[in-house]
Amino acid sequence: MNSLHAEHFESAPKQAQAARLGMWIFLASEFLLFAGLFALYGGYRAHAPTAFEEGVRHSTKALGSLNTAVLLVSSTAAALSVHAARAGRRKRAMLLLASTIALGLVFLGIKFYEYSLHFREGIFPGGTGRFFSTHADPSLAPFWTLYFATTGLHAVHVAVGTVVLASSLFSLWRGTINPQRIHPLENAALYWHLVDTIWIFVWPLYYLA
Amino acid sequence: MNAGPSNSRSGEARKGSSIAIVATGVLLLGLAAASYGLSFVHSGSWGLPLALGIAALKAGIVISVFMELRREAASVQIAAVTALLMMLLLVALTTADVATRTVPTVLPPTAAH
Repeated sequence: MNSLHAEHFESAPKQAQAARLGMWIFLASEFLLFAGLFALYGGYRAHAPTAFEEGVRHSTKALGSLNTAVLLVSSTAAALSVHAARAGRRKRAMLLLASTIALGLVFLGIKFYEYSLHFREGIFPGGTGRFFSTHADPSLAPFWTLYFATTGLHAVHVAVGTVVLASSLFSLWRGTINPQRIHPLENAALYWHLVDTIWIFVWPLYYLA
Repeated sequence: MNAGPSNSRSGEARKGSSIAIVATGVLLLGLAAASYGLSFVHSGSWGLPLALGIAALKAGIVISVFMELRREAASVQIAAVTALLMMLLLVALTTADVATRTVPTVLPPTAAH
């Protein structure tokens, strides 16, 4: 089949539109997955505000903030990559997409370093570890458990996102993503922006206030 | 808000300005820096709402500019807005439920007799 679109679609724009709608419905379900964790955070914080404030004070604010900057820059690079690909600037699009992937890996590296610092201090999910025997407030356990659950689930999304972007990078290199067939790259970038959007809320909840 | 097949935009029709994208990125970093700076100011009970307000603004910018929701067809916008509303409802109602409980959820010992 030489056509730019699958035969069950009337045209390439209609196929792209269907792909975007499907992607957004998938992203909506991802938002709701994290909504459960945010709701738990709200409930537990309303129940034990002092313990949660202490938990936030104890988190690695500088590293979390550095990761915020890394993700915001990576999202900008992803948007610029889509823009370049639409304009037919393949090499530029590939370079920007490779930068996005590299920044995603930097994010994961910083995140795992943060986890190693917590583990060294005796902070583990489920309120286990020596940290919780020296800090009496029992509500610190839900804070750290939610921290590991939320940031861990987010890190999984970052890892999946880098794989999806790497696949798009390969397709750009092969030429199967081009200005006439751009929606696979657009959808990969949408996923990456979702990862960024989730982190935009995780950051203040666990690191700032 | 637009609808219908005529709004199935091609990549060609979505070409914007790379300067606008870079400016958006700089704006997002500026807002993040503001949020970081405010976290060192003792703002009492306003600290979290303020930080979340800036986060909501940043998320709105990402969704509108980078994710191009404002240019999407009505079907896509409805799917996205519905998810955001459901998320807000879930978080707000769960938090409000716990925050406003004044009566113990189990019967006090005197009432059990």
